[in-house]
Amino acid sequence: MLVKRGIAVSPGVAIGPVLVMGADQFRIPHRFVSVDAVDTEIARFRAALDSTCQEIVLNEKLASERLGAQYAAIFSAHLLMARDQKILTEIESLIRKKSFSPEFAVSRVLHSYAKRFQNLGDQYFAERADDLFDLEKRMLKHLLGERREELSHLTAPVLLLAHNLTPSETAGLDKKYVLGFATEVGGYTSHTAILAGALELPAVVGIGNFLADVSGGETIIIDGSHGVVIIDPDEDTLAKYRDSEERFRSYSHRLESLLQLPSETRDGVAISLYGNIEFPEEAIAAQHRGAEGIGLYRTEFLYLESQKEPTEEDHYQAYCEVLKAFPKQPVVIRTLDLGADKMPGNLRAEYADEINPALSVRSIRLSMQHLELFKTQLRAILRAAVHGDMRVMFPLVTTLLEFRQARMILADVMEDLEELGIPFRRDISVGMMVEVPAAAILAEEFAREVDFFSIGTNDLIQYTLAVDRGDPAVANLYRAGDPSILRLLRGVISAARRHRIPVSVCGQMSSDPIFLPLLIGMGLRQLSATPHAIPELKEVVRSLTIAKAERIASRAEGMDLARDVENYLRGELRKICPDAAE
Amino acid sequence: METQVYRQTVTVKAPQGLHIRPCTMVAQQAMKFQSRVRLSKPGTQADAKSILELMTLGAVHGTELVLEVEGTDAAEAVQHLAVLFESDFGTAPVAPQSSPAAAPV
Repeated sequence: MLVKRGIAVSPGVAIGPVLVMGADQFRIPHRFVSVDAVDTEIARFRAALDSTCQEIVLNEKLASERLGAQYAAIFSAHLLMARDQKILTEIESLIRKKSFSPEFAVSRVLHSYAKRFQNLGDQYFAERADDLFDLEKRMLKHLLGERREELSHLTAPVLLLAHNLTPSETAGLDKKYVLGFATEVGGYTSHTAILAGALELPAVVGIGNFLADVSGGETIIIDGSHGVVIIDPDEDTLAKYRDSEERFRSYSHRLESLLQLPSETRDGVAISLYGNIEFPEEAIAAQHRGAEGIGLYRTEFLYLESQKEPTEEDHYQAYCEVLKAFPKQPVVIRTLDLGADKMPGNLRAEYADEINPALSVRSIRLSMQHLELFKTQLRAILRAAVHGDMRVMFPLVTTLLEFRQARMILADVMEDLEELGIPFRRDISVGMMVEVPAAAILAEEFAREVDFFSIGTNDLIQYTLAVDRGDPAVANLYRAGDPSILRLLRGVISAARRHRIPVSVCGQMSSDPIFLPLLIGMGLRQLSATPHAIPELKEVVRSLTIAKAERIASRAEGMDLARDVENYLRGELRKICPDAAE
Repeated sequence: METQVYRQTVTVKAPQGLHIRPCTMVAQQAMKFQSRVRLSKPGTQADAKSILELMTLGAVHGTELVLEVEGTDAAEAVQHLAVLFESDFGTAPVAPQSSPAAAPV
């Protein structure tokens, strides 16, 4: 039994056989398949073979265009190898007659030829074994699914282990077959973690190197509530986890029963709970979780998902899809938050030399430097806003001048639409993210000009505490409970209330129930969270009174250390709502 | 059309032996025909339509191989394949089609 610790990013317990997804080295998840699965396994093998051949044909074309025909010839040979009837027959017969898994069969057959090459006693032929290993790698990649299309070929439930999962791979996971996942890299607020929460898959990230300890096929436990991964658990541990898996499930059932109940405190004050989403498809999930609208719709993925720049129509269609799920409720779109760790391919070269991307051209700054990109999005937002209560906000606003400029560009776009006679929403609500300490400090001034605030705690904490949340070496210094953060939050919420503009919190902090009494106590009446967190937050809201929340806030605000604040809040939550504190 | 069998001895002239590119060309050529095509040397034989089997022959420079073709289009097949060996897989070693020596006789 081997216990590994990482960062808990999505709660719940999953137990099952492991599938290792590696980029360079592949491990065979299981060597045998059940006899009645033989036909589907052979179909899976053929599909992987087709993808492999397509990939080789593409490489052949690229090599011939870029390097010349003599370099392409090697790919013609690879293609012949991949389509070699002898080995295909051998592989299929191992699957059919011996119930080998396709991965195992491919590996076995190609290795046997490689060995024959090596035994020929001639240097040249021996080296050809490498061509076979390359082919093996390609085939295994397609079988084991380095990409999500192949992940969809899973035929039995697994727990996924990988060095890293991209957000799109995570979004593509089929919950029927993937029960949970754990990765070597990643942090609490990485997009993969956020998506895991949305999918309600138990997940642990940032474990560090551990894949070498796993050969594939063994049983593991992923405890996404405590950030623990257990490889080859012993009987006692298994029994204990089976039990807690059961308890987690019954708690989830209870939360579902909250769906029809209003989100209000025991003394009848409504607290609006909105959902954070990245993909339009998530809007439905948010609605099912009881979200009263979308408080943060991140739009970067339109850019990062495809190689091509999205058109105005792409934006418009995506926004309209979200409005379909929430036709009358607020839907807050954040304009492009590209840059730093999220740079689309076509702009990467331009900003490759940034010394410190987090402090360089990102978010609204990037939009202002690429007005065509920015205006395309604004046009789509203004057009879509006709169909519902859509609002727009600018990220990373640092100075008043910046906000005014962004607003002016919005006015320009309106003028253009007006001239063209295209319907759009003129009275759209225009807000800003408060996520730079400068903006938080000047909240009073900003509150006079903006229609609403949304506090982005992830960046606010990063910039206030000077900690990169994705860097494992300093991740423990990233504390939402730091007194400096509490003071900034209090200031922004108070400024908004004085100027009677809506304020919400949309960072990861608002999804963590321990901070909810504090935020409500500071005067917050709406917040936006990962959809899966909404039922739990609602349960906490319904167990609170405003007076109690205010007492908790003022007590926490009197403390000196993040650790004390967080321990105190955890203790209070345990008293108010024991299950949510676990 | 009746099945015919043709047998002919060919020699590997390529300095590197029957390496990956010649194997590719032999397999591609053999696959154009219905007939079963085999190449053998004492102790081993290979299906000429399988690039992997061809490579396991480990035929170095100067190796003599027996080309055996059996099938309805065997006469044509044996001719094309023999030309391939005689021309040392074409002077332009990239594409067999562009090699004048490998043009249909």
